[in-house]
Amino acid sequence: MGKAAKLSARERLREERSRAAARQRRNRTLLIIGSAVAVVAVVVGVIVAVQSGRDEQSAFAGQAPPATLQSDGSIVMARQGVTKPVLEVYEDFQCPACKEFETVNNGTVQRLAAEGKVKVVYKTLAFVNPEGSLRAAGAGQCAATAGKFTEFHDVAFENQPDERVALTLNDLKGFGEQAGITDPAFATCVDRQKSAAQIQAFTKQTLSDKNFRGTPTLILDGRQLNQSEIYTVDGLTKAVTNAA
Amino acid sequence: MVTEGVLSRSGRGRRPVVQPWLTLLARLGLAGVLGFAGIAKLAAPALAVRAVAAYELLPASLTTFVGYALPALEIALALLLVAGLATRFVAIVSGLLMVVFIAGIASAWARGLTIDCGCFGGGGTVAASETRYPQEILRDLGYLALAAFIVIWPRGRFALDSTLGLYSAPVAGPDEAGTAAEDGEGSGDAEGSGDAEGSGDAGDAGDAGDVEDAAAREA
Repeated sequence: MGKAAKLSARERLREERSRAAARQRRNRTLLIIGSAVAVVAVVVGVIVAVQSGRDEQSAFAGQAPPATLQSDGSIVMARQGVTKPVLEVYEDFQCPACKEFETVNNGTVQRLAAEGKVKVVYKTLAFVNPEGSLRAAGAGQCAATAGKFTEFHDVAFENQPDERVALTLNDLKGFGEQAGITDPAFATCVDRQKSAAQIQAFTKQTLSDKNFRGTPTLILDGRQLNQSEIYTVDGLTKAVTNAA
Repeated sequence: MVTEGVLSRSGRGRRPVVQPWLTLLARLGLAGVLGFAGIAKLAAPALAVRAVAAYELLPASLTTFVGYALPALEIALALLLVAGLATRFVAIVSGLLMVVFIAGIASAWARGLTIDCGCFGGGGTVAASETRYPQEILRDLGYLALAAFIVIWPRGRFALDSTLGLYSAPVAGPDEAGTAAEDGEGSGDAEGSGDAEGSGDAGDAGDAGDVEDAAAREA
């Protein structure tokens, strides 16, 4: 065999080998990317399934226990004689995250209170929409005086406007009507906004606390609940049941 | 073949020493932030959905799915970055995700929404004085730069890619072709040859060069 022929045969062999190696490399790359995609698909599939299972909303069809206005402006909802555990709920009627909490767990709170498993203390702040929140917090107290706080509270959160739009006195009187308040003293009470100064002072004092991170804040027997306890039915139910 | 050995060694001598460690650091950094962001969003699925809805970009039907799936995607990408599996591909996806985040935040800013980005849980509407759009965008640009670094230099230390032979050395010389290739695969050589470094489809270019070199040497 001549030198040239030998060389070209070698070259051909060499090219063939390198082509095969390139092919192998490409296949390996595709396989590795494919397995990465599979990992993503599995992780996403599992987490989406778990999260949609956890993201249920509570509903309570029964009668919530009576809610009564306290001298400090808070409102206590508890069955007769139930004094612990104490669940403090810091809310603002115009706070969107509070609406989220209410959508998820309003039913849980009312059910647990109705079962006598918890004493609920609503502490309403007014800062999200300074004007609208203040009017709403005052109206909440008026509704408590009329004996319909729970109903008013549910209607107000269901119909919460964008927080940049202040709730008007007429909005709030309308909520009272929807909540079944017929006593004309309610409308007068809403208009007078007698408790405004007390609510503002309470708001200022609460917000100045370094541990306070905004609404909603839930404190169960002194312990601040975490997000998964606030925003999942299972989380809140377990927290309260374990505290009993 | 003495020449070949010397060439081969000098080729190895050109292997970057610092870059694979930098890539490892970039991988861990990006994985850390993605993993943290993903896990922070898991606590309250209802809030994660609301954080997505606050951007007012997606229809309600998609919002729920994205609210559940986004943290999952972040966690999956973080796991893959730590493992170093399909590193360049994963870095490209992570970079695109950052671009989407930046675009979303910029669009919220431009439309005058006052929202928290919800990047690490929470999210939703905040007071106008509490928006942090420039900081959020700058932060995500930083993570985008990390992703870009990994895309350009995907070979790092402690990567599954190397173990699986993604970067096997290109065929070295006519007589050693078979063994060299097998060595590359078997030993899980993290760096491979300098030729392949940094080029997108390193294999073909490297091979062509090697064939020419080999022919020249033989002649």
